[in-house]
Formats: sequence, C-alpha cells, structure tokens
Amino acid sequence: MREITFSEALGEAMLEEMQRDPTIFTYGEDIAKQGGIFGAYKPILGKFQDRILDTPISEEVIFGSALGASLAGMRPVAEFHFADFLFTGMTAVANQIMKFKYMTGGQGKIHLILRGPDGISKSAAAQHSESIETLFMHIPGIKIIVPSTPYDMKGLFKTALKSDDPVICFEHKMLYARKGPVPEEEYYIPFGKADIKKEGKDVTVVSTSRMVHESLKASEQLAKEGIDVEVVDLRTLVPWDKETVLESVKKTHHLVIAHETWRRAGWGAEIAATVQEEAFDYLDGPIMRVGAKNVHIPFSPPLQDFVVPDYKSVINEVRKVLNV
Amino acid sequence: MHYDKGFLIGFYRTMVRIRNFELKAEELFLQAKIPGFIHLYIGEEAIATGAMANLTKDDYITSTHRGHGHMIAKGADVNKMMAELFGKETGYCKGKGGSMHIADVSIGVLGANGEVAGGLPIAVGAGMAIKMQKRDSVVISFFGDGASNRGAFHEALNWASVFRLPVIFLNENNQFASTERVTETTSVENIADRAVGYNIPGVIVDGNDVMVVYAAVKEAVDRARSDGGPTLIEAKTYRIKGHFVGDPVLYRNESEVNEKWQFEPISRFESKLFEMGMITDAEKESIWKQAEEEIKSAVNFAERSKYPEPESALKDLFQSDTGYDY
Amino acid sequence: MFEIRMAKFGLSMETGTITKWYKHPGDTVKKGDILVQIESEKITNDLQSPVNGFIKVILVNDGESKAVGEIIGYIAETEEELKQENKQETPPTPQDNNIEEKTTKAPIAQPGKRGFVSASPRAKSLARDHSIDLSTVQGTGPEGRIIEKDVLDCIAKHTQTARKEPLSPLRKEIAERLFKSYQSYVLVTNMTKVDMTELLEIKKKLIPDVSVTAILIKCLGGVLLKYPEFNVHFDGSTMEKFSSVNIGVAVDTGRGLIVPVIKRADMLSAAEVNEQLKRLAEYAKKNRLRGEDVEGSHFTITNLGMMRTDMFTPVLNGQEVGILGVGRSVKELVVKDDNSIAIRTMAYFSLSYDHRIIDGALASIFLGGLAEVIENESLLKEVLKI
Repeated sequence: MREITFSEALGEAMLEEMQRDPTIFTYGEDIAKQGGIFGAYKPILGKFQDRILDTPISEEVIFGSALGASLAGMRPVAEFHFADFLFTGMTAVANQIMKFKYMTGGQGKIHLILRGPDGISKSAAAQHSESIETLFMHIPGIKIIVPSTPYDMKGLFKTALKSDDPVICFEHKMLYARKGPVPEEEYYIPFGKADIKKEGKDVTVVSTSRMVHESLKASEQLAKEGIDVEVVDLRTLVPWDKETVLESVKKTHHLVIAHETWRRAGWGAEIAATVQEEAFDYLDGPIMRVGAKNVHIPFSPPLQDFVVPDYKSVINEVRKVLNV
Repeated sequence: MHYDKGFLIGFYRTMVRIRNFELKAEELFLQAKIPGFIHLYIGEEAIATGAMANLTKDDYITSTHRGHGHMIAKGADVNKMMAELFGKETGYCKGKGGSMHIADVSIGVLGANGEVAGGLPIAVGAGMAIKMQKRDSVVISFFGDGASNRGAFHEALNWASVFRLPVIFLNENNQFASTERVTETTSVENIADRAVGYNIPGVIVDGNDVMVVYAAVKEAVDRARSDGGPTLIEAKTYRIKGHFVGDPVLYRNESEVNEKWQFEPISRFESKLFEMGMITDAEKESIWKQAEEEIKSAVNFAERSKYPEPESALKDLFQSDTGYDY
Repeated sequence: MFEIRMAKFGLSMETGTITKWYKHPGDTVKKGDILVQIESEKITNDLQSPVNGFIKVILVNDGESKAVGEIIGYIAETEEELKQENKQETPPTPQDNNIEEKTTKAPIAQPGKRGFVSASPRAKSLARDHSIDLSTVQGTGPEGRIIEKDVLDCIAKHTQTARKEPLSPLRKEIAERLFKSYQSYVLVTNMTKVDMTELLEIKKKLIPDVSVTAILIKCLGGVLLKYPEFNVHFDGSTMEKFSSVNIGVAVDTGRGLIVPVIKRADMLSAAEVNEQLKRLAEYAKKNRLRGEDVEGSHFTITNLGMMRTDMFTPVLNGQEVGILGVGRSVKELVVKDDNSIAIRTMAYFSLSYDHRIIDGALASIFLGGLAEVIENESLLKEVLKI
C-alpha cells in the first residue's frame, strides 16, 4: 500500500469531499496562499476558487460565522490556527456552536468543522503547545476527532465532512510529517470506533494522537521484559468507544490511560471513572493515567521534556499498575 | 413616498401585536406563570417592524435577548412563542430555549441570543453563505448599544466590510445596557460614527419612527442585495421598561421614563395615521382587540400545552447521537 | 509470657469464635479468672486463666474466629513483662509474614499490613467464583494487597493436591486385567460364619508352624474334590474340568496383588502346603516369582483375616468359577443348640462364584461342606492327615 503523510491525508480528504460537495468551503488564517501553516491544504490550492479563504485575525467571527454559514446552507471548515487560539474565540464555540441546536430544540443544520493543529512541537511554549480536547468533551455539543495516523486522519475527516453535527478535529502538529499506509480507494471511518493498534494480554493502554505512538514505543520495550501491552487508539473522544475499552480491560485486568494533555482532570479521568464503574470486578490494580505535569508547557527543551509525557512515562505507569 | 393604506396599517398591526405580546408576557411573569427571564421590547416596536418589512422568508436575522419583537415582525407564530415562554413542549424550542434563545430557523430567525453581540458573527457567517451561493438574500443583525463595545462587533464589521457581505448591522440604541447608560460606556456619541472605522456607510435614524426606519433599512437592504456590502444603521430609541421584568430600575427615575414615553412609536404612528386619514377609531379598536384576542388565545394554547417529558431533555443535542453517553 | 490459645472444648471442635473478652489489656488476672467466652459449633464455654499476671495484648477480638490451638492473646506474668515493648504484634506462626518470601507451606489467615484484607476487585471476584476465603490467601501486591495472581496460585494449590499421577506398570496391568475380567462373568457372593475354634486348637496343639491359610488350603482341596463343579475354568461357553486341585493364594506384595499357585494341593501334606506357601509368598514380595508360579490356578483363596474385614465380595481370578474370601477371626458369644452359651472364635467365609454356571444352592452346599470340615475335629484331622 502507498504511504502518504498525515498532512497529505487531510488534504486528500478535503479534495475528495470538496469535489463532490460544492457547499464545503474552508477558511482561516494563512491558508489560501500556502495551504495552511503546515501545508495541509496544498492539494486543494488553486482548485476551488472562492472556497478557500484567508481571514482577518478575528477568531470570534472565524468560529461564529461557521455557525451562521452552516445554518444558511454551507458546510464550513474553519481552521483555528493553533488549538490555543480556540480560547480567543471560545465564546462563539462554547456559547453559540455547541449550544445552538440544543437551545433551539433541534432546529437548523449545523454541519461545520473546526480544525487545526494542537500539541507540542519544538519549544513553541505555553501559548502554542496546548492540548485542550478535554474541554470539548466536558462541554456537551461538539464531536471530537483526534486521529493518530494518516489512515485515521483521512477516514475520520471524510466522515466529518459528511456529518450533520459540528465536529472539532485536533491534529497533533508533530504528526503532520508522519507517513503511513493509506489506500487509494475512498473509505470512511465512523466516529465512536476505537482501533486496537496493538493487541496484548497483560495491560490495556488507552491513548490518542501522538501518545498512541509513544504507547506503541513503550510496548515494544516492555515486550522485551515479557509484558504484553494492548494499545487502544480511541480515535474519537465524542463519542468514545466504551465497549472496546471495557472488553480490553476485561481481558487484561489492568488499565493505563495516556494523553498529552494535563493529567489533572484530563479526559483520561473520565475513561478511568467509567471503567471502574462498569468493569470494577475485572480490575486487578488501580487505573493509572499518563499526562503532562500540571503546569504550562515551558520553553526550554529540558523543561518541556520534563513536563510533557513520552514513552518512558507510559512504561512507568504500566510498571506501577502491574506492580513490577 | 407614497405608501398604500394596507401597507401602513400592516405596520400598525404588527407594532400593536408586539406591544400586546410584551404586555401580556410582563403580566404573566409578574403572576409567576412563566419561569426564567424576559426582556421587554416595549417602546422599541418600530425598529423591528420597519426593518422586517424589507425582508422575505429567504432573508435572515440574528436577534438579541430582547427578541420577541424581531420574531413577531418576521412572522413567527405567537402560539409557539408563548408556549416557549411557558416552557411547554409545543414551544418553538420544545421548552429547551426559553425567551432568550427563541428561534425559528425555517423563517430565517437564526435565534435570539443570551450573549451580548453573540449574533453578529453568526450573521456574518450567513452573509458568507449567501454570497457563496450567489443568492440575493440579506442578513439583518440586531444588536444593542452595549454590544457595540464588544470585540465581536468590531470583528464582525471589519470582516463584513472586507468580504463585502450582504449584512445590515442594525443597532438598537435604547440608551441602556442593563443598568449602564450608553453615555457612560461608549466612546462615541453615535454608534453609527464607528462605521467609518470599517469603511462602511453609517446611518442614524429615529428608531421610534417606523417609516423612517423602514426607509433607512430599505436603502441598506437594496445596497446589500446588489453586492454593495454592509451598512451600519443606528436606530435611536428608549428602553421604556427595565432591563428585565422585575428589574428594580434604580439607575433612573420615573420622570425620565414618563417624558420619553411621549415619544413611544405606536402612539406616534397612530397620530400620523389619523392625520393622514388612514385609520378610523373603529379600525384602531378592532386592531387592538384583535391583537388582544390573538395573544390571549396564544396564552390559552400555552397553558393547555403539556410540559415536555423529562427524558426529552436528552434529545436535540446532536443530529445523530450514536454512541454518545448522556 | 503466657500464650492464651484457642481452647479445644470438644472432640470435633476445630474453630472457635470469641463471643466476649472479659479481660482487657492491662487488666490484672488471677488464676481461675474467666478471660474470655468462646463459642464453637456446638457449645459455648468460658476460658479460664491458668496463671496470674496481666493481660498484655489481645490478638483476636470479639466476634472474630481462630483455629483451635492458635494464639489469641498473651498474659504477662510479671510487671516487667507487661512494660516490655511489644516487638511482635502478630503471633509467631509457622509461616513467615515476609511478603517477598514465597513459601509453599499452607497459608494462614493474615490481616496484612493494613489490618483488613486488601484485595483487588479482580481478586475478590475470582475468589468469590471459586469459593475461596480471602483471609486464607497471601497477598503479593503493593502493601500486601491480594491480586489475581495470588488467588490463582491458591486455586492451583487446591487442585494440586488432587494432582494426576500415572499408575505404575504393574498396577496398570492389574487394573486392566481386573476390569476386563470382571465384565465377563456374573458375580454373586454367599457368606457364612464359620467356627474356627477347632481349627485354631488343632493348629496350636499339633501343627503350630503351619499357617491358617495353609490349613484352609488343605480343607479347600478336599472339598473341591467333593464338589468338582468348582474346580473348573469357564470361558463363557466351554467348561474345562480338572482332575487335580490347584489353589491360587492371593498375596499382597506391597506393590500390588499377586496370586501364586499351590499345585496339587489335594495331594500335598499340610506341611508341604505351608512350605510352598511360605516360599511363594516370599518370592512374591521380592518379585522373584516365575511365570509357572502364577499359572494354573483352578480356585483361589484370599485371606484378609489379619485385617479389619469381616465379609467381602472377592472377584474371580481369571476363568475360575469360585473364590473363597476369609475374614477376620473374632471371639464371639455363641448360643449352642442346647441354648448353652460358649465363647468361640468365628470368621466369615465369603464365597464368590460365577452365577452363570454355579447356582446359589450349590454355592451354599459347598460353603456348608467346607464349614463342616473346618468345624469338625475329626474331619479336619483327616483332611490334614494328622
């Protein structure tokens, strides 16, 4: 199978769907000329005049207008430059987009996507390195996709472009250049279906995005010690595939949740609480979570490395849970 | 400009309907029959009425927390509106929204809004969609004086100007943002003066003169429909009642209100109609009576309707909620 | 320091439950004071102190149970002992409480470092499913927590005692042969009590070196001549009749049962039978029997008289149609025909036979004939040729 990058996979998804659906348009800062700061839109540049727009730096309107455009019949894909800047226009997302359908008793078609890069890179520091997907899981009203591979990126995004609900897509900036197998034929990945990236029998590690790769790296090392890790990639957080996680824990009896966002009150806590509620008798040890330390992402590389989790953090928590 | 009687009486009828609805809502609230908050449009009816006469069902509006007048002027069903105020399942939002979030997307009302200036970005988005679909529809975004100090206002005007969107920004300057006077919080005397900052036309009108409002909005709508871009219209008016029903109104005195009441839109228009010989006493009475009946019947409808089933609270979050855990 | 142990108040008592301590740490104790009330399955009893002193520490509280013999507290017999620091909070037990050390000794209920039985949900549910008492499981998880592995080990241990063990080749062969044989005929056993007193008297007086078994073999030899229907082999369709009497004698080698044969028992003297018997038995035990030693038996005797067996149903040997089982000799009060009472030594004779060709009446007659010889001094002397 051919291999393309995560970023190319996104571009392909946009291209395919925009060709088929004339109501899809995309806008944001720095996208119309260079195809986005990470070049994800290169495949569509020059192809859809007027449907790729650069905007002023007006986040509340970037996000709020997506709601209006959707209600008036288009399918907007609004880019947030960095996940951190969702806060800049947060009221439009949390108070308008996420609440409109519910407050109006189900009126209107709200098919819109907010998408953009999140997570750490090389010392981008506190305001350009956040992972804040937890907020959008906590507040009801938007679906969340967090692909970890080019295959998942394309399949999930194509589904998002056909969804009749608002979707937010977090693309980890360090994954854009990562290559992976993607079939030539079109395919869609449904929301709410996790992917077991590696089967195992001793401990379940539930993860998303960049931490999936860290978890796989950790499991390679742990395999040398005879520990067989099962890595479950949730792929979507709203909805999340509870069934697959429970089934896995019932098999392995041990659970570690690994995410890059802060450990405290991160979405891992929701998974942990749900699993202990519904699979209590199957747990042979406490559920452990891997997440960033509860401070902001610092600038200096040794500081960033200390704060942000990686495969070593996953190994540590797995050892704790298995008491080895 | 010559308008025919039917047209003018239409204005009058609409304003009277709005007035009756609001008075009845106030009454019901004070009788503790409806929950939540309501914000009355009394004394401002001319703006919604005059503006909306320029629109069709294919045009959109975004409204505010003080949005009953906008809904009624756009042609909403007062039964469903009243039921929504009561929180009944037959309401526009099935009881999920209430007064501040009332909406009828099917007639182009993209929602009242509990967030000040919350509707402006939405209006801009609708404008973008219209332009991309090459339609000649327009969007009127209603907002108050308080909203003109929010970031969303400035971002929206700039954006609409840059993209030349068919959006009419209709500022209802009723002199008060809750307890704060516009003169205390706003750096310009006329909000319309800010239009120049965004390179769009700014127009000031007497918001309590329905004909003047109609004319100003007509010009702006025509401009928008012909891809002339946005307009900022400031309709000066006065908020006769408190910010919300139950507001103790400690920030101004009765005498000021009584003075301003002299200039309220319905009596002013009524005088003009009588002057022009376009209305008789009997017609006036009949219109008022009809409005009263209509509203009374709406209250009946609302009172007879059922409250929504508690479990229905778990619906309408998403179009498709497969796999979602409530 | 005096150890207060769970007392055994009844023969079958295994565990006791503390209903109520009457004395508490620090209290003075005089000999005879009631320390504690203990309840067992059947009865409730008070435990008295056999010493003077002070209650040092109580290890098992009201409502808790302990096995009989286990330590439930200590009495300090002097003031110094009472003031001494408690080095050991838990009593010395056969098993070390060190979690790192893995022993294979029987686990004993330990409250662990936390004072309550700490077990993971998985361990608890597994224990529940297998009816395992968690207080008997040693925890190897953090802080002594019982984890799944510990419960699984416990389950394995229980099933280990019922471990599968393959049979030795000899045993295997015995078992197979026996099974096959047993399926091929119809076994019925007639039993009767036989008065052994005369036989034992004669043996004692006249042939003290000859074993009872040898004597019985001689008797059998005579009776079988009289009732040749028993001196045959039957394969289900054909009968092979014999003219001489070869008697197989069941011998327990310690490794299994073997049946060496006394050939022509009818012709041999009692002393000769005895000699042969001794030799064969010895060879059997030393595994030195030859093929011909165990072949050619026409009728078998199996004497369990030295063991605690009265009546039994021996199975037939090979194609034989009869086997005599001899039970324990027991002194009994016997009522004679004239209603006088005597003490006689009696033993049960159990005659198993192949009912396909031997009917009950004949078996009874045979038994009667045999008993007659054994119980009659002159007949016995005649058969034994003494």
